[in-house]
Amino acid sequence: MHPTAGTPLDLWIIIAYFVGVMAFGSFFGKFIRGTKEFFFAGQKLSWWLIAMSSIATTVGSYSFVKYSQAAFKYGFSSTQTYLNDWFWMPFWMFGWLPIIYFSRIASVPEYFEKRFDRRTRTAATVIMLLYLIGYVGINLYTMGVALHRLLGWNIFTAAALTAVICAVYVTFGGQTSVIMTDLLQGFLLLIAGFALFFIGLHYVGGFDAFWHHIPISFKSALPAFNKPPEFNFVGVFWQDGMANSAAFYFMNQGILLRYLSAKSVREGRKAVTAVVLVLMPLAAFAVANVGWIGRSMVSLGLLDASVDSRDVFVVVSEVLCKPGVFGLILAALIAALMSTADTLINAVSVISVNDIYRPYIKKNASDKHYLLVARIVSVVTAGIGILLVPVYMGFKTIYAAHGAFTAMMTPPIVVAILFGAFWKRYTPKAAFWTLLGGMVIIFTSIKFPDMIKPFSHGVPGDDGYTYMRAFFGLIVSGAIGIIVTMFTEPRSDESVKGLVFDSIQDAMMKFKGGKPNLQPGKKVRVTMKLVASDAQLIDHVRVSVEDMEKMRANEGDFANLSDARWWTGGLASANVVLGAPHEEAGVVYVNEDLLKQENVPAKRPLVIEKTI
Amino acid sequence: MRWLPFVYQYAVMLVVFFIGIYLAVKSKNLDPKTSYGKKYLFILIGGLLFMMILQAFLQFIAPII
Repeated sequence: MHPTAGTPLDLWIIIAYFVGVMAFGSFFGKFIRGTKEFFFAGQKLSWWLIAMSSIATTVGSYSFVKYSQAAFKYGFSSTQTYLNDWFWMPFWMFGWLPIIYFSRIASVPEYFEKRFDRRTRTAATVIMLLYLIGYVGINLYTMGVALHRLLGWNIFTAAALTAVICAVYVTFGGQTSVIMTDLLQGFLLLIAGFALFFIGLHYVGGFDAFWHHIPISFKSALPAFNKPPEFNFVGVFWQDGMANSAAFYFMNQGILLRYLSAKSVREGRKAVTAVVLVLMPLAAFAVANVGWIGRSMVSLGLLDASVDSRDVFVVVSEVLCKPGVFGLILAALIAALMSTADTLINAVSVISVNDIYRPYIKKNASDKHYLLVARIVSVVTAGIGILLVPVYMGFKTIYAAHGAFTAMMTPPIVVAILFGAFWKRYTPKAAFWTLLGGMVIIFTSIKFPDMIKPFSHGVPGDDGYTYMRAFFGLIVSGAIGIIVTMFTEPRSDESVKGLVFDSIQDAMMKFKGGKPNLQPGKKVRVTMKLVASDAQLIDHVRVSVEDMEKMRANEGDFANLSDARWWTGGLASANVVLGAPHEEAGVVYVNEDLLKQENVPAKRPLVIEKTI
Repeated sequence: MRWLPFVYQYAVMLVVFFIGIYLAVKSKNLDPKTSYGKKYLFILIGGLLFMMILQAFLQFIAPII
């Protein structure tokens, strides 16, 4: 491994990238008017913005390095983690997303209080904050290590630099900045990943040479069933496909906020479809192909067979890329790392304000006050993350402990969410004990790994059943949930209305304050006509009878009014209520005060569409 | 034994997937009588088939070409 890689040109590209991302992210601070924008980007974004930015968050810290390593050692089966999420989608698209969106739930702990009770919320808040803050630290540490290995920078300095850059733009622009910078970074990391593949193909002499110099055993979508212990099908399936994929879509605060930023639930469904069916396979290819190219290069004698698999991404990239291009590849690596850290920082600020500050410290303050607190929390979170870096550097066991903590908390929370959302009988006591009991038993299994043996599917226990712990955790947490539910009293149907899958209609009624209108309608192009402040309510707009008919809309329906240029992605838009129709086709009457609150262009063509 | 991981994965996934479809349809959150419901039922099942075919190709066809 080279102590440092790249040339001064590559270094300048990385510095320019850091400055560019910070400036780009901070620019979106101008769209922030309150906590709704800071946390949910105003709930008005288009599906493609959400999808593309989600992929940057998904491709997280060390993905390029980790999956290239797996690809180099095991072949195509390195893609398994990215290709086994779809089966959760019926639950997510038609259960969990509408529940949290229409119930206006900002975080998993908040859901736990509404669905169960306050002590379950408190337990979940503590667990999730420990997890998220620890995760911010780990991401920064990972970033520090990566830049140290690549450029020879001091680990702490590199981590601190990343934290400061993320903190600056997250503090200014909140979720909007996170989404916009992650959009940019998502494109960059996919382009970089594919560019490496095509450069690699050219280097090894074309696709045929590449294909025929990959061992046959590497050409397999799934690894061997239960061996070796560090990479086997059944372990990866239960850990990544079942526990972590469910955690990613149902529990991950950053991802929930991303989809809550959509202008409608339907837009959220479109986004997740694009992510799981299109972008995840592309990302799997982008992050892993360097390992396949590297293996082919070894077979062709173009790369030393003794190369350490952990270094294969950097070594192969440096061989393949000319100065400058390598800098762009490193920028993509940094993009993958930063786009996860920024999401986590924003997620911590949401939970801190929503689940601690607002309910326990200051209940009825102004939105401006909560926005200030959210910004302070973002800075403090980045600061704590930086302080954790030397801790992780000094004590590798703490790094391992966080990994163990993650494995410990994921199955119980996932089980509590799934049972809570899809089993009405599931009781508050059962939820509380699923969390605590599940964590305690999983923690005990770290000390006594033989507990997992009956669940191991024949996976050798050489590494303490690391992978199979997820399966054990899901079974144990599920069993606690079911047993405690059998002996305790559920909440009344009335009190959980809108919070379980079979009463989403009630959540929609509450969300809208009236009967939801789900009739399919068309988008209508309109121009704006401003009316005096006292002529109609501030968030009400009026369109013609003809346009209402095209939208299949009624008075009182919710709609989204946005700039007609699709690429604005909903940033220049407002969520509005449709008022009494008029007779002027193609014109929308807008209260002049709405323009002071929302970023809608008055003089450009607009599009209006009914959302519910 | 290339078939074992594939069969195991899709056996578990299909059970979870169709429980999800059943709950979504039963609660009318996904209503196949509407055009939107039909479209998403098609997308959901089509998406599963797409993933299955993609992984089956990599698992069974790629090694022999």
